[in-house]
Amino acid sequence: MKRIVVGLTLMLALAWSDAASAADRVRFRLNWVPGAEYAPYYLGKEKGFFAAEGIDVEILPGEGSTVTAKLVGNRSAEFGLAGADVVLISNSRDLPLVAIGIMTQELPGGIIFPTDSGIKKLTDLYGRKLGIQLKSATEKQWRAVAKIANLDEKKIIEVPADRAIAQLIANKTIDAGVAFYFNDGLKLVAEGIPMSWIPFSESGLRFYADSLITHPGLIKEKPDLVRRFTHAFVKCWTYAIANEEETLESFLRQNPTIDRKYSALKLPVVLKMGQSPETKQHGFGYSTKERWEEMQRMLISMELMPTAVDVSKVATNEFLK
Amino acid sequence: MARTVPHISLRDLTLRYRSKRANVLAVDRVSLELSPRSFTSVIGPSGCGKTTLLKVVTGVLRPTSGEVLIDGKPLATRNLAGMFGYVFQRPLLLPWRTALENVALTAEVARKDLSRRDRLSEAQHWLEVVNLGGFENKLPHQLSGGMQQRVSLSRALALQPPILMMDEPFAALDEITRESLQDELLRLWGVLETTVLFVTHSISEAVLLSERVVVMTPHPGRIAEIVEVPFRHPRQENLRGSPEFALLVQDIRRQLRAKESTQAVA
Amino acid sequence: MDTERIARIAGQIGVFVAFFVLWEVLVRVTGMKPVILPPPSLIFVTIVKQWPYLLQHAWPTIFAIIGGFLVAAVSGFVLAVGIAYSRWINELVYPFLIVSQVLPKIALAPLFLIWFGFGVMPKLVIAALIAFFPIVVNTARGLNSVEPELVQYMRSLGASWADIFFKISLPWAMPYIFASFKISITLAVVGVVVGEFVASDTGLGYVIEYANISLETPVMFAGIFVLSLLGVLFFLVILLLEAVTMSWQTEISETPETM
Repeated sequence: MKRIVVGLTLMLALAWSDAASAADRVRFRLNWVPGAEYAPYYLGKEKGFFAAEGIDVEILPGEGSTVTAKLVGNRSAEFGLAGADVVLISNSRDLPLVAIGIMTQELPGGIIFPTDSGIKKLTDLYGRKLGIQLKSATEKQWRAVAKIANLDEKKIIEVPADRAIAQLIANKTIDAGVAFYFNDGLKLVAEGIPMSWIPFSESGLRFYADSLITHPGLIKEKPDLVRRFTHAFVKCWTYAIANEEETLESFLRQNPTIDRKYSALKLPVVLKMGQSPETKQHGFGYSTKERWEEMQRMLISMELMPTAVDVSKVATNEFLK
Repeated sequence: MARTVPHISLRDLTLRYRSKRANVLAVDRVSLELSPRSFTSVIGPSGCGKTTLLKVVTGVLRPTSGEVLIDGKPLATRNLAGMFGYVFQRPLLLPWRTALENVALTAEVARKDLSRRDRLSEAQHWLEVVNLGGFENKLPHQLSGGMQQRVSLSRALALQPPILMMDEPFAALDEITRESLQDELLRLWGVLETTVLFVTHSISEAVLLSERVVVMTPHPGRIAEIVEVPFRHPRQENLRGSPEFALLVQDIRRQLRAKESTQAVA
Repeated sequence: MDTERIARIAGQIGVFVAFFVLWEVLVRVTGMKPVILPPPSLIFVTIVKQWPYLLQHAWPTIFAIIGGFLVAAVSGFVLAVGIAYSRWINELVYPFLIVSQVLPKIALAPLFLIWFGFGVMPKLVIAALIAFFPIVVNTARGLNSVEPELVQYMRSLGASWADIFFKISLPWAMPYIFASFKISITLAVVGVVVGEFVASDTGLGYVIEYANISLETPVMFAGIFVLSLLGVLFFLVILLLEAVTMSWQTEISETPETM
């Protein structure tokens, strides 16, 4: 009888320690369908960066920053990607989220147009047709930029375009569009139409864009896990920046249906957008309190946030190291 | 629309049709004379072609060979509008029309020259003829099965068609209603000047109502026998219960059984 | 109104009340955040607070539902007559009909935006596309269900095609037609909303989508509730129309003995 008890106890202890030393299973929810902008994560998974941190990561496709925010806020995913503006807005609407690293340091949005359209500055849009996806983040960003630049929006012919901006530019229904350059813009370049763009970031809108987010509850319960994941996140990007070719191949290997030409155009742009003077100084993913607060001020003035929140609770750099 | 009642001849009628398995001979060289104002029943088991025969006579189906002559002229050359009145096994009344409006349908369709008022008063008359005066504003679902069938009969009679075709009209009714409708039909036939061709399953019904009973056998449909019914018209009160009646019914039943072995007849 | 009817209606209302109470309790007990799933009490308050906004956007939706449904009804009816009475039209058209039904309209919506532009047209087209299939199928069936013997008899009396169609076939098919209307009106609502999600900046679909993206979940649900109410109201209108045109049919179900 004694032997049975000892035996059982040993088995249980083994099983428990086994579970403890087994990798942490983590759901990582992107904010869009798989594309070259997420290549570093796929590379990192293949090269074992996550595994080296004891993490078994499941990369899940997304449906926009709002959905990912809700999923992470509801703890249906441990980590996710969401626009920094969405992170702030969520917090103001009682959905606490924390941005633990910045993936894209500047907004990917802007005014895109064929290079031969003759558009050089924003006022060249007067009298031209501008496609906009109404109700989107880019629309709101455009309105803010228009305000900063003191544009007379009535002089621009707005054409609601939903997600068809690339198609409408291609068939010349619109002259320019409010879009992500590395999405719609590069898609058209891949089809043989040279494109140019005026980024919002160069028009006074210096928002952070995609951020790595998690739930404050997870930070409280498993700070070590959060640190390890963030380290893996940083490693993915720093490696990718130094090894673009390898990153592209790894990504295409894991996502064979995605267009190679388009991805090859997109990846260098995305890698560049992850870097800034701050990241060169402090490392990938770094953000400043001042910029977060500036973002909040803009969002409130655009009436997208009902109240201000404590920015130090919304974003942190502490897990990057 | 009082027409003279014509003489109908069926000469060597044959109807063949193609079904899934084979060529079916539905009706095989049927010949029959229907003199004006006669009452003829056709009996036989299912599949003997009685309903098919009705459809050929009214021109709905075209025979493969043989002809139907109306007063000596072929069916195809005649204008048949208003020639036939038809009573089906089910009343087939339009449920959204009152009894009166159902009967008026006949005139609506065949006598567009009549005014609405005339059509309705005609319809009222025919409803009274079948003893449904007072029920003209009822909808079919408010009437019993027997009353609905009377409306159907009234609709068939509405234009005083020279020929009345009846396809097992009382089969779906209970016995009591059936008997009262049989009596009513006899009375009507005595008063109106129509030829009646009456199809039924029931030997006793055929014997009760008609002057002649045409016995048909199935596969293919052929006339086996034509039996003259000796009883006088108008029928005496207790004919149904009389021994002569029972004997004649027995006789016909025996003949039917002898002619074909598989089907049982009511 | 008899007690049985009152009891029935009370029961139906009771089910809804119980549903909302359950929802409210669950949300509160689990501490669910309003941004994820708001409690009904908050939704109702939001409806009251945002009533002018909701009403303003309800009109374009209502207009599009009616328009889409009418287009579906008319085109569906015409097509049904063709299918019911012409063998070759039937064989030609049916495969397309089925394809049109199984095509995912949500996927088509962005394409419609490119073809039809922004605004009312894409909504109407999507709503009509979704709603017309039941009307075609049921109307054709109804027209074909007329007793052939009766038709033959009427023909023998000299009835014209128009006589038979208008006096017999069409009224005979009415129960089928109304049954399909009840299905189609709800589909028209769905179709309009799908169109508004993608290709419109007015309407309750737009309100719902916009609130969703702005993380204003209570407003989103307020829009959903108002939309549901609209759907129910439209359904009731069809019921009313049916009761009025086919009073004879409702009587059948109410008489205690049918034969």
